[in-house]
Amino acid sequence: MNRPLLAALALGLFGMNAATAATAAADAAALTDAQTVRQPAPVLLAPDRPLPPRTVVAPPKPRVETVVQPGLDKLQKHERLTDVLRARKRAGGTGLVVAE
Amino acid sequence: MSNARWFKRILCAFVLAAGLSAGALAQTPIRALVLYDQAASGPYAKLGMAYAIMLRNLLGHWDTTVDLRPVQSYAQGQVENYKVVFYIGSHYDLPIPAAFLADAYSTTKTVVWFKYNLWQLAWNPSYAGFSAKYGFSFSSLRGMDAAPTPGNPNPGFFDTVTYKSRPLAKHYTYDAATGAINADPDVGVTQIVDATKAQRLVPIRNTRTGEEIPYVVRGGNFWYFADLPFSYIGPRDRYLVVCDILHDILGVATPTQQRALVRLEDVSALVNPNSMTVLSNYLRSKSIPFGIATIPFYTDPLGVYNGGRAQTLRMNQAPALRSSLNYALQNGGKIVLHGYTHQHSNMRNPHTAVSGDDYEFWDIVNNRVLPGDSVAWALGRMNAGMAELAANGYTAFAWEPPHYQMSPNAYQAAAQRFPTTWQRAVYYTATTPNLNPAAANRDFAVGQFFPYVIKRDHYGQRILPENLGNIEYDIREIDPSSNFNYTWQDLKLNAENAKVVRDGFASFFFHPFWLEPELNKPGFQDFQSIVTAIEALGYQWVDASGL
Repeated sequence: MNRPLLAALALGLFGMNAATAATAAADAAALTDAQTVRQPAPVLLAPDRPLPPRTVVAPPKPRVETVVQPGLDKLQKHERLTDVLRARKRAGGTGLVVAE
Repeated sequence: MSNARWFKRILCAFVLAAGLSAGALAQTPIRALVLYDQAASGPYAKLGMAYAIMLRNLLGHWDTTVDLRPVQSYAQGQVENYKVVFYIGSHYDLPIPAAFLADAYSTTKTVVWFKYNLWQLAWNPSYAGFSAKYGFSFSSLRGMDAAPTPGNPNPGFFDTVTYKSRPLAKHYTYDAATGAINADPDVGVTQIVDATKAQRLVPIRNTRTGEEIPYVVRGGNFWYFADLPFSYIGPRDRYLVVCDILHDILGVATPTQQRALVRLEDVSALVNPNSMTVLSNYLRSKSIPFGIATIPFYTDPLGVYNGGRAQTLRMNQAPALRSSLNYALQNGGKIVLHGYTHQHSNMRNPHTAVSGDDYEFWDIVNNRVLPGDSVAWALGRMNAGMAELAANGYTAFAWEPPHYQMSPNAYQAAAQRFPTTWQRAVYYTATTPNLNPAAANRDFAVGQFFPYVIKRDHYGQRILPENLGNIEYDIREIDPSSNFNYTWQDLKLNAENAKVVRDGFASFFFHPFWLEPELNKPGFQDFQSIVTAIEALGYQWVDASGL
């Protein structure tokens, strides 16, 4: 492969990369908060620079392990709308829904 | 023209310019950056993101622009693009990039640090002046005082945050059979070393030993929370502290204003007009506006309550529903769309596939999205619900997710379709989350309620709060799964705690079917008791459709 061809190839690849990056940047800007969580993990994990050498020794982590639930384990609605039908049946009714 | 007239004109122009300028400033959103830990792998790799989403939602109470990023991708100088930067230390000793440590130390912008990893800054020789600069030091981590045993199920930990004179206790349960402790007891211990520079804003106490340490400490522009206030959140929990203190962190002056909301729940073709009349009359008599969470389309595809034959009741076939709505609307009620059918297809999800019983937008049986889940699918059902209302002469001002849980796509659909919602929500760390705890890179689902209006949440929704819960009775003899008592006194206690939030609401819902004579419960009496109690606490009832 001659030098001009190599140079042209390199230039072409550079251009393609730049175009891809620009598209990705535009896509990223258009993402909602919820969509950003769909970014592939490797992108998010890649640090911009090497991590620093550890100069600090961490304090001991408390030894007793616990189960941690982030957030609220949602509000449980125990009762159901059709409990009324069950109650009516229990009180001697049919417990069926009758269209009027 | 006289000098006086010229002077007046110049003065007017100046006042006008100043006014325009102030208006422009008032409309400028606060820019906030939320940085979170993201380990390369492991079962908790996405936990930090879950917490970050929760914080982002709270920040949506104000006019804000919020960016979420893993701290591992932090680039030097980014802090300066924001008014406030939060770091969520959820992963013990995960290395923090040097660029963030340097910027967090040198910036004059507000920095808020949660829980772990403060030692990487405060104990770092490169930032040896940390204590001198901020007036407080970091000393250690503390957790459970000892491992629990059946004979000593709670050996103690820093469990009670006192805020505005109210004790807010952290969640703790211990299962002696399995040895599992459900709690988040770890805290970072700090000490004030220079009271002219640092303040302990909020204390946390170990109620067993009596020890007290800072829960929230501030030194200049640097704030530190001893734990992550987004685990095991509840209406009596220290979560309320961060909800309130964000006003101070963001520097937004907000007058104390405590308002109340009430909503009648699950009003469908099965509703008893007599119950709705009694409740409407009562609320009208007290000039209390109220929401009516309405399910417009009743279906029982398996015929569970129709002798085994599938049954549907459209609104035009449901006179009890229409008469109930008509009466309520004349007496201060406003309709909230509460699903299209409030069930899914002909699958038991999880109970009967009957409207009002089951989930509509989430597969609760398998804890995953439903087949065919998409924004378009959810929008279709929401539009169908609105069309069913419209065909019968009604409209809804807001959306409430059935059973308070939908898929991420459905939440995005709600954000697109409705100007406002009224709910507590579930947030996920992916659009199609894998919530299997054993899965590699598992996702998290986190429930969150709000004590105030959220202008924009993670999915783009506007949210009206529901933060007190609802009255429930144990009727296990009728329905084994309905085996829980939640009293009006429980709601009252929640409302008392909600007052620590300077613009906090007391918002609850109530099922009209508790007035049904066959259930034999003091539903109406208890409803009146909680309404009266909320008023006595100083809350003002407001119309949800006007917020």
